[in-house]
Amino acid sequence: MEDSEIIALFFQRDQRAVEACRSRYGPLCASVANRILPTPEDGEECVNDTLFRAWNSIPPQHPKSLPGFLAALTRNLAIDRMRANTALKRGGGEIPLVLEELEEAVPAPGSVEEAVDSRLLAESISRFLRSLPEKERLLFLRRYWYLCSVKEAGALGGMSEGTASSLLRRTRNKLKKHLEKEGFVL
Amino acid sequence: MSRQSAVLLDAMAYLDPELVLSAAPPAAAQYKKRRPLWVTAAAVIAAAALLMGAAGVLNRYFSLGGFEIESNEQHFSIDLSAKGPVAVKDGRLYFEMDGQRTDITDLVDEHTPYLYTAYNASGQVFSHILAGGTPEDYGWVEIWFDAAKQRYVWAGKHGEISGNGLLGQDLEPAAGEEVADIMDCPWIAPGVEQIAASLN
Repeated sequence: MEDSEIIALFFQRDQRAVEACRSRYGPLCASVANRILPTPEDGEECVNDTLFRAWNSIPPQHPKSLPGFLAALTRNLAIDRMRANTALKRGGGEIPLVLEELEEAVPAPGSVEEAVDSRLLAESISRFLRSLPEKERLLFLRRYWYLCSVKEAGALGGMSEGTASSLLRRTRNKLKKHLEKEGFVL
Repeated sequence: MSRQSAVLLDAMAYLDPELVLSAAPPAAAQYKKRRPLWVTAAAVIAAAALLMGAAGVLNRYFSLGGFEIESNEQHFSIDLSAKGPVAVKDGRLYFEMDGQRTDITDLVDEHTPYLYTAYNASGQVFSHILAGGTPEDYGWVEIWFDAAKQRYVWAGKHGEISGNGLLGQDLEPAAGEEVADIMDCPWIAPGVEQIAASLN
């Protein structure tokens, strides 16, 4: 079944949409969830939550990329679950480390404080990522989107942990300058 | 850590999906990770559906390779209809995972597998996939540890043959011989040996 047909089923409130998503993109969602969450059971619950959330979101939403939409939903839900674990002192996986690293990419405060639009910020980051060499872009996304450990993200790109760590640091600094240039105040 | 870095982390959920999907990690890291020595025990090959004892909540999840699993403490079953991560195109054998494709034609044969090991963000192994054979006669087997049930599980496909079973609490190198016989794939045995060695 094509993605457009699955989305049409969502709009018709036909529950076969959920099963079609599970069949076609369940492994992708599980892959995202299992990288963030500590156990397969957590991952499984997260995938079920993703499908439930998709059912409640489409319509009104009409995702341009169904796998991208489902992967992002899964990531958000997995991160929320890990944050809850952190609050309960059960450990937060890579999230605390990632947040600490991203401090370096936060633009300096400007004179005007305003709520940032996450979508505009994401568009800007997407533009920034497209400007990077492929190796650097893949490393950044694997670390900060998929929340791979630095070691794994580096190994996947043929880099040592130290090299990956250095390259990520340089990329964070470049991102900070890019966001400042585009006028973002977080 | 500050609220601002959390804003950045959350905003990334809205990145261009094309960019995100292009970077989906294959998790095919070829490096080995030191693991505690597992206690040796007899391997047990079981059939698809097993009665395991006390009742429990029915879990439903996908393996990395796309098998759909239902299990609780009384029931264990696998839907073996997954297409799987191995495909032939233009006479070449490819391993496909998370949107990335690796030409494994020259890396495998009847006795040599390709090993794909997936890690979660905590650095824990959550699945191994073995692929092997030739473009004319190939197959794949996934082996993972069912944490809730404290046992290894395998499932695989080779042409018209599909199989799955349990390998017990420990992954013994010899278990690969039994799976290789069931699946008629000699490359499985050295692959399981390689996985077992990586756990030590």
